[in-house]
Formats: sequence, structure tokens, C-alpha cells
Amino acid sequence: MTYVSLENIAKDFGTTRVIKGIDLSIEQGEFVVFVGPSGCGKSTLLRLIAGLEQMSEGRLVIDGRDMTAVDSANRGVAMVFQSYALYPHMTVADNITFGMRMNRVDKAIIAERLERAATMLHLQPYLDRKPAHLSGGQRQRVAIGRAIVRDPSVFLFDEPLSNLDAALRHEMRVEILKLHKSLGSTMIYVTHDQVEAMTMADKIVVLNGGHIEQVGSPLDLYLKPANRFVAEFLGSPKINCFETVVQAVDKGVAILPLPGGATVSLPLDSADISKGDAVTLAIRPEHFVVGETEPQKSKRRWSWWSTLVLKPC
Amino acid sequence: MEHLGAETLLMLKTEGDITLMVKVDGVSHVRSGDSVSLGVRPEACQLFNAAGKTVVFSAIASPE
Ligand SMILES: Nc1ncnc2c1ncn2[C@@H]1O[C@H](COP(=O)(O)OP(=O)(O)OP(=O)(O)O)[C@@H](O)[C@H]1O
Ligand SMILES: [Mg+2]
Repeated sequence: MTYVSLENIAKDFGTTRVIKGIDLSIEQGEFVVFVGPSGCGKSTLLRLIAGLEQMSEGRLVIDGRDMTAVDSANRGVAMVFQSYALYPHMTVADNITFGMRMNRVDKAIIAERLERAATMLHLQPYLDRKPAHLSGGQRQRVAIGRAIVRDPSVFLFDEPLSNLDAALRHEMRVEILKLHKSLGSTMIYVTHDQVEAMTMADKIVVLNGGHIEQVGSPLDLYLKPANRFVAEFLGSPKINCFETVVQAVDKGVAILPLPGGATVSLPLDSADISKGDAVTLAIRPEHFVVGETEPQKSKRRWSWWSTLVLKPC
Repeated sequence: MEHLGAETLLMLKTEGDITLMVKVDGVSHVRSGDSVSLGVRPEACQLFNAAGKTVVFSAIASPE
């Protein structure tokens, strides 16, 4: 059942429309990752869900409640930023409990929630320290702790690990996934990191220029992209693309020339393309088989190319 | 050529001067300047029309 529903959401900054009518359904407990080129609107979309920006058009529903006009503080969402946004003069414990203290939450509840978050995030030894005396990873844990104690129905993460080195990033990725499992909360996560997107997401949303290119499981997007943009955006190293021309279409089978003189035959599902059409053929780097000699011709499943020369590098 | 431990990344150049990135498992014994043949299964191909939209085809394997 849909838990978070974005309905035709648009956002203008001045006269520029940067979010161009987004429809998206998110299930309860889902881990959703937003990816897309810089400037495509990932952070803006997250801020619209958080209520830090006003929508120009559209509707946001969370758990059956229309949140479009509801204050950020009352949406039941918590956001974790790339920059941690901690108070430098406060201890870790005070940073984590700040919001609750402001809202005059009962002291016993504050203590209990702090204890729980600190245990989950391995922060007990650091509760009396100031942020300046913490590593980047520990600071990000504090920022996550501050989100956890709010007990939100939806967590929003905007590139939370991009300031960390590779080893720490890996460790924190595992931590966040564990957290997602133990809390069972719905999480929306923005990243530039391919590995994060592919390994963490139940569902990836590929954004481009303020609209959605495709939504799906990591594997579906990787193996069955809706378009060339998605195919080229996901995967590292990038998918190989060749511009070519359809040589023939015979009984629904398209014959396409490969670089080097060989051809590949693809049985088409519909009459989308015909002889002479310009098309792009794409093959992922790991989908080749490399041999040092010419293979036996009996292996008809394979389209073998003529010999290629390794580029000196 | 770049060895990434469990896999090797090969940069191959075809006759038409098209550069291909190829990832193989393990350590490859292929050296710069060597000639290699390259195979690909039809079902591993992706096809896009001039507008960039995916052209769907069925991955029927032809008999051996
Ligand atoms: N407050 C603002 N006023 C005007 N334009 C803005 C504002 N905030 C964002 N934009 C513009 O909206 C577009 C989307 O920005 P956004 O920050 O959402 O992109 P992003 O996908 O998060 O990019 P990045 O990957 O670099 O973080 C950009 O063109 C940006 O310049
Ligand atoms: Mg951003």
C-alpha cells in the first residue's frame, strides 16, 4: 500500500520550473534512492517532501494525510544533511536531544530516546564531547541520531556520506542499512554514489532535468533501462554505446552491424524500427566474453566480432 | 589496463577507432598491444532508437 504519495509535484524558483510534475508512490518501510546528474532537482524534491520548500503545484500525502500545507515540524519527517548541521558549542547528547528539549518532551522520554539512539549508533563513549572533537563519521552519526529521536515516519537523507572517505563510507552504508532494518522506517536517500544506489535501494528513482526518467529496482534499471539516459547513467565503468544503422529487418529480426564487421541479430518485440534507421547499440563492460583465439563457429549463440587490438595504456 | 583484484578492466580499440571498456573476471593475461576476440550474447545488448528510447526485443537464444 502506498505510504508516501507525490502527486504531480512542481516547483518554480522565480520563473524557472526546476521540478516538473513528479508522480511517485513509496511503500511503508521502503528504502528509496534518488539519483541523477547535478542540478536535476534531487535536493529540491527532498526539501519539498520535508516542507523546507513550498510546492508550486501538486500534493503530498503521507500515511493517508494530506501534508501539502502542513508545517515542516508537523509532517513527521526528519532530514539528515551532507553537512551534518550540528551545533558546535553543544555536546553530542545536547545536539541529539535539542529538538525534544525545545518541545518540552518529558525528561524520562528524552533520556530513553537518547539511550536508544546512542546504542544503535555506537555513540555512548562520545556523548559528552563537542562536535569538533569527533571524526566525520561520528559527526554524521550524531546527525542521524538527532533524526532518530524524533521518531519520524519518513527519514530523508541528502548525500549523508559524501564527505566521508571511502572506507568510512562503506562502514556507514552498512550502519544505515542496519538502522533501516531495525527501525523499519521509510527512507528516501539522495546520493551521487553508484555503489550506494545499487546496493542500498529497494527502489531507485532516476531524475533528470526535474522529471523522472525511470523508477524501479536496481537490477531492473540496470538490465532493462527505459532509455539511453538511464542506461548510461547507471553503471561504472559506463555502458559502451555505438551509433549504428539497422542493416536489415527480416521476419522481425533486426540485423545490426558491430564495430569490426560482425553483426548481431535481435528478435524485435514490435515493428519499432526498420532498415536504415539510426540506432544506438549498447553493451555493458562485463557482458563481453574475451577469447584469445577465434571461437568455433558452432557456438551460434554468440555474435563474435573480428579481432580487436588492445589499446596501449 | 587496470587490475582491480577480482576483475580486470580492458580498454580495447576497434578498427573504426571505437574504444570499448571490457570487464573480465580475475586477472587477465592479455597485454597491451595483443589481439583478442570478443563475444557478446544478443540478450546482453541494449538497443535505443534515435530518440533514445529503448527498443524491446525478446532474448530468444538461437539453437546451438
Ligand atoms: N533557492 C533556489 N533558488 C533558485 N534556484 C534554485 C534554488 N535551489 C535550487 N535551485 C536550482 O534548482 C535546480 C535543482 O537544484 P537541486 O539542488 O535540487 O539539484 P540536485 O539534484 O540536488 O544537485 P546536486 O547533485 O548538485 O546536489 C538547480 O538548477 C538549482 O540551481
Ligand atoms: Mg543536491
